[in-house]
Amino acid sequence: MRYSRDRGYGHDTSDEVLLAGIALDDEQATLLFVRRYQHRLFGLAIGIVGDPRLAEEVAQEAFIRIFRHAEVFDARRASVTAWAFTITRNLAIDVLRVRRDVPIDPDDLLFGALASNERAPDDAAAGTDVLGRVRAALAELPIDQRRAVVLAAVYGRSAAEIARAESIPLGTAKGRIRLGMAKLRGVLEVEVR
Amino acid sequence: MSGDALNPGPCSAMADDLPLLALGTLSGRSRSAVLDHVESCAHCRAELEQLSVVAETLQQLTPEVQPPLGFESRLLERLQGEATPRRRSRRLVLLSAAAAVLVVVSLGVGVLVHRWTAGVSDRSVATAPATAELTSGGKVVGSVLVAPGSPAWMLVTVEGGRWQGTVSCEVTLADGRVATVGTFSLAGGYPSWAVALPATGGGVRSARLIDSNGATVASARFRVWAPE
Repeated sequence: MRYSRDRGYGHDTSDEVLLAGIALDDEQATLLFVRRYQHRLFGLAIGIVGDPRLAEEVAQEAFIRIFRHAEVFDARRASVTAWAFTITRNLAIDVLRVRRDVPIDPDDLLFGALASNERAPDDAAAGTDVLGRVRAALAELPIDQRRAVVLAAVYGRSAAEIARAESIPLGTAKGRIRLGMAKLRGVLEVEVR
Repeated sequence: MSGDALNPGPCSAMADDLPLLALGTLSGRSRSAVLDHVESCAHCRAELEQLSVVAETLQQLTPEVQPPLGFESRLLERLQGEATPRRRSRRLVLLSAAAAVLVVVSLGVGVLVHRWTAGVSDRSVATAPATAELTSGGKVVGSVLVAPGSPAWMLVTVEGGRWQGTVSCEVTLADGRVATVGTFSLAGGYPSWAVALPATGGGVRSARLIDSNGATVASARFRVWAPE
């Protein structure tokens, strides 16, 4: 965890500090955390479930779970951001599995901002260039690999589900994911150097 | 990594499943097999960590979207409704506007601590946490944050990998009392540790970490504390 010489809660207060406060019932930390993450988590939820009302349910439940488990969060295992997004994504996928009637077109995400070459404003705010690099690398992937990777990473589809949806053999679906992920992983190696 | 192109080893057999595990879409026996392998293979473990970073990053690529009007107040109301015994007497909705003021005050003035109000039920919205550098041998090794509130609490952060083992944390309060507030483990990585403080009697002057031999391994002194 990074520490800061800055004093007081503010925009530069780390997520980990806010979470520690939430674990100890600090109302101000809770409110700041909600304000920091509501646009991002709602964005992920609506990206997956499509429907604004369902997305609000998902995002709200995600916040509740984050607060409920704040005291057992382990900064050595994951960043707060990754943890919050994973909780939201898993909830959204659960909702989608129950609500088969919600029409979802992954291409909306695939060909929208998710795989755009343009740098999103929050990429810089994240403090690293990893988001921008991965976004750019994703846009460079062959479309079949990009579809497979996004369907798995964002929509939680298994290789078998992707194979059925794309009418391809299971081995081909796995291969597309492996190749796509390997190229995206290469971006991190550049980052490390 | 074991195996090569002519004689594929267990790592080669994992090539397809490792990314699926990182993406959270592997289940059943395949998942168990990969987990067992990763446990004993440093190469694949490192590979899995990298792939997991990719998977996490992919989730974060979705664009930000403004939630519907009233999202925040509905969430805060729900939090109050779901209050557990520990999560008692929340006043989140009332504090909503107040916290916004706090942010502006904190950013604009660089407030250290306005008023220590631990133990005071109707605390001022102008309170703010205080942070002090945690030093060892003259070097900054982390930080200690003390946040006012009911209860007041403290967050100790030690930069990664410096020490191992268990330390206890002792604080000196504004009224001169010394209290050991707990012990925690300094494992690898970037350990941090939070604890509720006892009634502080006006604030915290300093904190120190003490190893199992009773030696001080690091300490923090608050330049400004508990102005009444």
